[in-house]
Amino acid sequence: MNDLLTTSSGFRTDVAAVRRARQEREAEAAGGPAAASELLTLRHREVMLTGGRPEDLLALGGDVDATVTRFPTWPDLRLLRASVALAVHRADLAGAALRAVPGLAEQPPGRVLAADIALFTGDHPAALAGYRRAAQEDPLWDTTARLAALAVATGSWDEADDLFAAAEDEISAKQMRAFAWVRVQRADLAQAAGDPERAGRLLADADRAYPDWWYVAAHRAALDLALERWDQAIEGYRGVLAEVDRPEFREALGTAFAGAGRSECAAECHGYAVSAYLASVARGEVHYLHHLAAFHADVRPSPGAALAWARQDAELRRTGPTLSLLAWCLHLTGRRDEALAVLDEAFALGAGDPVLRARARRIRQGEPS
Amino acid sequence: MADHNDPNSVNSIFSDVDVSAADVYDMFGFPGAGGGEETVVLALTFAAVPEAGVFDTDMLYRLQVNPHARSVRPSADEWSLSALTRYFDAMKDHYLGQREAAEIRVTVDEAGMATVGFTGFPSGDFTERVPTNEVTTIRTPSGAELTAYLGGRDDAFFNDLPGFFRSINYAPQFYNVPYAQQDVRELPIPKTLLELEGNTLFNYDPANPRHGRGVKLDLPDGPLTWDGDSFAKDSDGNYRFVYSGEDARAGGNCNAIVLEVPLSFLTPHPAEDRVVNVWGESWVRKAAAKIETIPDDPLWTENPVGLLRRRRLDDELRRYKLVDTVGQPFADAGLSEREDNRQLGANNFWLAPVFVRRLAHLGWGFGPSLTALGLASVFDHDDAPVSVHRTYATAAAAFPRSRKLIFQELRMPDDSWKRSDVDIPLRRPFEIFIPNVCAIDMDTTGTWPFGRRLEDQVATRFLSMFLDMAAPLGTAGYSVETLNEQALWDTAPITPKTPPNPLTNDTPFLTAFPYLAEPW
Repeated sequence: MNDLLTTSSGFRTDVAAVRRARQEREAEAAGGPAAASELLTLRHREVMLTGGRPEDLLALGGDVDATVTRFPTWPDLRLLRASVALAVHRADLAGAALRAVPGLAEQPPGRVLAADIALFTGDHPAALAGYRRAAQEDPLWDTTARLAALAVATGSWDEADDLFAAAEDEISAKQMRAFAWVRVQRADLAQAAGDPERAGRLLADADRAYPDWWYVAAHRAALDLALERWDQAIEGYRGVLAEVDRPEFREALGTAFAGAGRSECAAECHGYAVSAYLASVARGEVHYLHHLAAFHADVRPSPGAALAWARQDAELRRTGPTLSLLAWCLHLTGRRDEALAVLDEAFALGAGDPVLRARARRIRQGEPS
Repeated sequence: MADHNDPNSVNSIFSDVDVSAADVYDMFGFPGAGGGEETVVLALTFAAVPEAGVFDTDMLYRLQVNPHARSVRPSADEWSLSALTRYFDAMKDHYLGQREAAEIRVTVDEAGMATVGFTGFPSGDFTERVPTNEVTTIRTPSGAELTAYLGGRDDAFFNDLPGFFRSINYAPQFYNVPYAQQDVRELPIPKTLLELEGNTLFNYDPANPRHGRGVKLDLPDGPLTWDGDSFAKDSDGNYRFVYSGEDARAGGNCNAIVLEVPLSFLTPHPAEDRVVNVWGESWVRKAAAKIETIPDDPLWTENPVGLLRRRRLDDELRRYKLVDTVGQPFADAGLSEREDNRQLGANNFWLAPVFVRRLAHLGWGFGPSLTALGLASVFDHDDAPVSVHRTYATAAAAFPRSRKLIFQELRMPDDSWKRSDVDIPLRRPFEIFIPNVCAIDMDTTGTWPFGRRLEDQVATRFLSMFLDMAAPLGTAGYSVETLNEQALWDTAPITPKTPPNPLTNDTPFLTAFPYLAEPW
């Protein structure tokens, strides 16, 4: 979607506009592949705008599959299917969707998605090559931002911020959501690099650029949580949950309650989150495995359970994030040598994201588990 | 579509791209009619977004102006690629060297007040605030008076846009092209003025007469090619024209910046600087300039060249992003294929090899069509009986084919284009399109290619480049107006019997400033 010059005036306006457009398309009930693809794309946009909840994405994926059976050669449907699958950590389905239409991965949109899959599965060289080629063929701000994300994943943080800034420079005043999104990524990076004040300023920019967006509020709340500003974090997550009810936000609210000494509220939130994670896994889904591992590692310590979940996650993909979590869980269970070996594997992949670096430091320093 | 819908970032033919205020349409320029001081009329038109008479407050428009004496060009016996290259190098030095263009810059606020900045003109820099949708007079520091109108008008362009797209087999005009298939634009089917036998993808369909004229079909699965060997003919033996002569912009509006300025305001040497080059640009405000943000300059490490280029811009322009340029009609749509990264305005010299290749490609398509109609084609197509789809990897390979087309003088139908006794050479395609500027010759009426008047049917004149201007045709011979003559089509074996594009605008132009008609 080329939205360089599309007028936008804020989150609520955008949600209303996407919803209206989607309803208009539904009313038209056109029968061809282009109309079907456009309708599903609008639904995808609406889902992502209103929270990107996995259950909504999974339902959308099912509907895309049904439409693909009617129009198997329409490439936009496959591209959408791949995108939705990747959002719920199903790189296998995403790759299959891309491969279903010959030549799809040779066009810039398909090439970018193939590179996304490569990044998700830890193949950094393939991701880099794909993004660079797509950027040459069709220079877009979001491809530059993807290169920045890759730089974050591989530990080139200064380069990452430069790339995010370059992406920003390509974003027009008609794309304030995109601008806000990039500022949020830069805020995350600043926070990871130990500069929470800059992170706060960048988040303030994002909020001014695109007011009322839950996504910015969620990152603001996360920053407050990291800085142990418990009351602000509680208020922030409550606001986010009023907009988007996702278990990871409930978990974070619980952690903020715990920090504020409100253990009953914390337990309630944590219990809800874990139940949701487990229900997801019971349905055969994989996108909450790492949440379960992290929860049992750091929030409600249960090293054995954490390690079990981390192993499951790492069996699906061996990447910087999954291996760093596995290493951390091994460390927590006292298996330091194995933890160091897993760290070595992660660094050998070229991974270097902030969480991996932080965990590696703590593991190598022998920080008590 | 002199410049409508290009570059691709503003190409609203695509379903996912909205009509945008950044889509600049046309750059008109011609000498004023006035009996007193010599004046130049400059008119930049662009999409009426948010609506006619209301300007997008995130946009900035620039008109760059560069008056100079007539340029020296290769003589008739130097029709070589190296001579062409030397000419382009000389022009490049001129444009990118010591002479910076002066500029007129326009932004409009929420209240509809325009800020018009003048920079680099002999009388010094100054800025005026003027209301939109009114004819106003701007007084310069030296006391000269400029007439200005900034507001909504009827779109001054009249053209069979779908016909042009049919001629180049441009899929997005006729089909819902998947976003994921970015290579499906001009399909690998010969360009042609006459329908190809069996070209079911693009030939007129009586059962669906609006296909390509508002009606789009889903792109079919089958091969997007053509394997026929002849032009289509009806039962009477007539070819079918890809053009209809309909005005696709009838009833459409634009927003416009129209200025009438004394030549002496543009140059201190009006007697010598007889050619006024002008081109227009649209810039959109960057997101970072919309709000107050943390200042930093990370481009320095990532993209130092980009940063240096940006630092050459002034503080205001640095807050904007260039989107679209317009100088010559069809320079972008016909020759640059709407590529976003080819929006270079006057500085389009690196496109010279692209143009050589592109003209040869177009020649293989249009040349045989003209020959089939009994017209003389300037393009050497080896007597191909039907249009051919051929592309070239290098300018050197294409040049022998396109050489005559590039160098031939474009004849005018009579001498009415001259306003004085000055000996003015006829223009040639290579100097029309590079640099991509509207070059207004002050000793002419400014009719295309000596500028561009509102009433010029430039789309058809563009096609006339493929005619052999040296060949005989009746008593008058070929000219840029040949294809606009109804009599030619009346006798041609073709249906419909119409010039390719409408001969006049949908509503008459005004005889007085601002010349463009009232908006609908």
